[in-house]
Amino acid sequence: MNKRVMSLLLMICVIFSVFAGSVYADIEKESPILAEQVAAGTLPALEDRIPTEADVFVETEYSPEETPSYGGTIRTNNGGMWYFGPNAEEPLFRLLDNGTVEPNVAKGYDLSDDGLVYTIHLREGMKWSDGTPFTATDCVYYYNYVLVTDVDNETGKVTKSNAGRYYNWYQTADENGVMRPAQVRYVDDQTFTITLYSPKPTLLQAIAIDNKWMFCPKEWYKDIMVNDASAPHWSGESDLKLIGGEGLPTITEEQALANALAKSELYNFENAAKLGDQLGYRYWQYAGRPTLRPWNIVSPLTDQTLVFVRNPYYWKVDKDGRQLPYIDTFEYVTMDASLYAQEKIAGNLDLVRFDSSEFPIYKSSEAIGNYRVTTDIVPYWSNVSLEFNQSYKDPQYRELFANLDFRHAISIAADRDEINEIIYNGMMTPAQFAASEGMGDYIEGAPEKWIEFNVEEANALLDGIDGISKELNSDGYRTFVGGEHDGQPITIEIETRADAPNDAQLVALLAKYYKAIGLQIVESNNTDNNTRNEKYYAGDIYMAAVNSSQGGFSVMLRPDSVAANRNNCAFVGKYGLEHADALTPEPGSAMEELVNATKTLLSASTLEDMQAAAKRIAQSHFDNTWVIGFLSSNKTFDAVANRVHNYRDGFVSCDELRFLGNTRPYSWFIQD
Amino acid sequence: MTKYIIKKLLIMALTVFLISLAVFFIITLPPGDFMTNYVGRMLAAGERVNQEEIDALRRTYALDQPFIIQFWRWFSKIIFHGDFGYSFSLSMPVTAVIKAYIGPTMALSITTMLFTYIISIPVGIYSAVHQYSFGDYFFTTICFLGQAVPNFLMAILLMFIAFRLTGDTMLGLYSPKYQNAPWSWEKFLDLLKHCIIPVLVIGLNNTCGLIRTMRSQMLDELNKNYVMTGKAKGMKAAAIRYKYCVRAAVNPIASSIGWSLVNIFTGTTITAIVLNLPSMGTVMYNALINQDMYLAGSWLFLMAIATVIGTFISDVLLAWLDPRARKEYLKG
Repeated sequence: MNKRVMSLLLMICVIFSVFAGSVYADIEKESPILAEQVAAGTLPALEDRIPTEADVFVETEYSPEETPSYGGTIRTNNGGMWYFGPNAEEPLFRLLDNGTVEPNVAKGYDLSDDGLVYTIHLREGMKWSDGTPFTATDCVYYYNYVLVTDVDNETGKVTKSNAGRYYNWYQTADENGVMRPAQVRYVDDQTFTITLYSPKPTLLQAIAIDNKWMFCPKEWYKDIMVNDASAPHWSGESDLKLIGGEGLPTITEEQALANALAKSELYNFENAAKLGDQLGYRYWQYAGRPTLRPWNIVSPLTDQTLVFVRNPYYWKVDKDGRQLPYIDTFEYVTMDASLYAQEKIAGNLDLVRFDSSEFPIYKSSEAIGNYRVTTDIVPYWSNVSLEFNQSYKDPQYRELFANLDFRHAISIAADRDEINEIIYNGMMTPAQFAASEGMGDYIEGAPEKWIEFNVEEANALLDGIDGISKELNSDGYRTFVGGEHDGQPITIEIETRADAPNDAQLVALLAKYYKAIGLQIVESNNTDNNTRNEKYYAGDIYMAAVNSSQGGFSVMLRPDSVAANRNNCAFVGKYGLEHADALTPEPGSAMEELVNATKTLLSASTLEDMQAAAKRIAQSHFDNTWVIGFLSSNKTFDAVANRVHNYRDGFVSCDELRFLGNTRPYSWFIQD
Repeated sequence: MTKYIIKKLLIMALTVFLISLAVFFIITLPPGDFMTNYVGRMLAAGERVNQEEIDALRRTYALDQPFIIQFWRWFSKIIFHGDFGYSFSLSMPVTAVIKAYIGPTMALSITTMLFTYIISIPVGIYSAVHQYSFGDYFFTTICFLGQAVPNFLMAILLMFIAFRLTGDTMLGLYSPKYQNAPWSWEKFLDLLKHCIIPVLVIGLNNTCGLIRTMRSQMLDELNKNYVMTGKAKGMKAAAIRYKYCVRAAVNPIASSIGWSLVNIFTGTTITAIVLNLPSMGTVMYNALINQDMYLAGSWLFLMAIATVIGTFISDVLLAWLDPRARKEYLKG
């Protein structure tokens, strides 16, 4: 009896397993359009296209709960290369919302005990979109022959880059304090090393944020990148295999251009520098260039609709082992921004990003357009702000702008609620220029500092400032007392942007508010942004500027719009360390502290030092209100067609996290 | 006549040169240059650029050279090598950009032009012959509406009507599903459907002027003595009208055909933007905004050539149509 029962149970189990197995086997593991090519013998089988089982990237966090069908096309507006690029970007390591990184193209890494050598491990069996193997050679070659092609070994400066640009991600100080680029070496097909001169704790974040692609297909590039095979390599390494130079021919500029053109008529460049900039750096705009991305462009850039089709060799699978992405095609339609809303409402676009000023029109048309409005988090410190140039050339105005009481008065004399209602449909929140609660750089009380509207107190603050009058002149303005401008009214020109129509309205409101405290405000209207940019670069010829989307995800990882390093930061002006004629701040001044904190951050070799320096910069803003923040929304919006599924509502959208790319578009799917 | 044509051609060449110099100068007038604009956009996108890199880029593109050297560098390449230079913003030769857009631009412009002439000449004749009739008032009203309403506003109105009637705004030349589909009968029908609004918008605007011109010219001719003489001699009214009056009345329109040549190349920029048509006008607009000087300059250069050639064609057409003008030319 027992034997019979056991046999029966066994039989049931066997039948169930076979049945279960057949159900599992029925789930498509790849897009039908690829399965057809496999069946026709024009494409290798899936297991031969993706990395080995142990090394394939399994996307668990973003896999949908259901089992989506493959296929379909997403249509969205063409917002330019920095819109469609990040949607499909695949860095070696990817940055997470909490500021840490995780392996992406890379399988993992080891760091030596002294913090100087990063050993990067790659995935076995991974392939470029044309089916050629992706190996460590592609990383080592990119660094040594595309990104850093020549170095002045005395100064450590990168003097030539085929990619047209080299930032300072890989530069660390040697024992003499000279900043030198790292050495990158091949170990085996799945391993390479990055060796620094001193520790750089945020190297992987820097790679994730700034050098998002630390690789290129060597075999495809070796004939189109300028190279002198007879010259010794700048790194001093003579074993060419170790620096990716094995088998490289000498290529002159003319040959590089001719070879590129022979590959495709789309690669018709004026000179080798442009070739390097476009194919070595902005390659994702060019059809035919093998990539590791989920979709690749197949249209020339002149097409009105840019079409991106799936990469048959994409190396990520979902939790069920199904190759990603689910969606076959992305289309980016070029049109004037004024047409986005009507095309979205007509159902001709699946996705449009917009800000709070357009919220009413998109929100009210959700049902007609069969879409939903989703809200994303934007980690900016402020969406509407005013900056006074601390290095303005006129000493009397410069002294005034440097006065903390002046900035305090400016901050509290503005009626933020009214600005919000009149210009931004009440969609924002009054806030000072500061990181919001929940962000890493948040300081308690900073967003609320000096935001209460109080004209009386503002007037009292200005009354206490030396060098300006307490009384108003016949036109109702305060005047300078003494100096070159003695008796002249205080007139502040505020720069506005050509492409920000709200700026003029904002300045008009500010003129009203500041008239009440005796200051005359004039809009410096820039008919195009070049004018404004030129003023920024000059550093000392503009007084003040209204701005938006300033501050960011992390001071430590990207300090640019809050620290004193850039050459075009409005409030910093010529105090920016990168400015050609950088000024030295007065000893003991608040600006000196900001400049010193910036220097420390840029040269720190421990995480603790970097964090401390970043904290000093945030504190400097809290103490000095360098930038007067009016409103903050920390929000942007997307109108997403209802047929698009697995789209993450509420994701963090910023450059560091690659905007929409942070929603992992390869995990979206379409279900009508 | 040959002497006249040679003289005319020489003046044309000089005109084109001077226009090119002027347009290149105007393009470089706004503050900054392409690099300032380019760097501004790079910074907005989160990229970093230092002054050394900007200077190097300026040197690479010869933007650090004086205006006249930049102009000659561009102009001499066109004249001696047929090379219009490179578009900074699109990173490709200007000729490739023109090649990509010229087809749709010309197709749209020529269709619109044909629509304009096919409608306006008969309507102008009808209005003149039936002066102050209901038909005359009807067409006059339509024309004035077409003329008075700005193109872009008319386009928006028609798109709204199309959306209410069909659920589609009819933007662009194709529906999304046919955008990248291979050619088929359905795709062709879709294209025709999408051409209705642009042809109506651009066509109606031009039609008004032409109808009014044709109407007034016809009225002038109908009241001339030769008409009365013809009638007195027993000629049929239709024969007088079409053989003599129309031929004379069409002269001003013929002389304007040449000038229309420039429109064929540009498309109607604002309307093309509103209707999202792949017109060269839109590319030109963006080139000017981005200070993409060689692309913008080349396009204006082509427009200048089209204008002078158009004027030349108009003169020749007029000489061919009007014996009086021909006589004047031969004298000259």
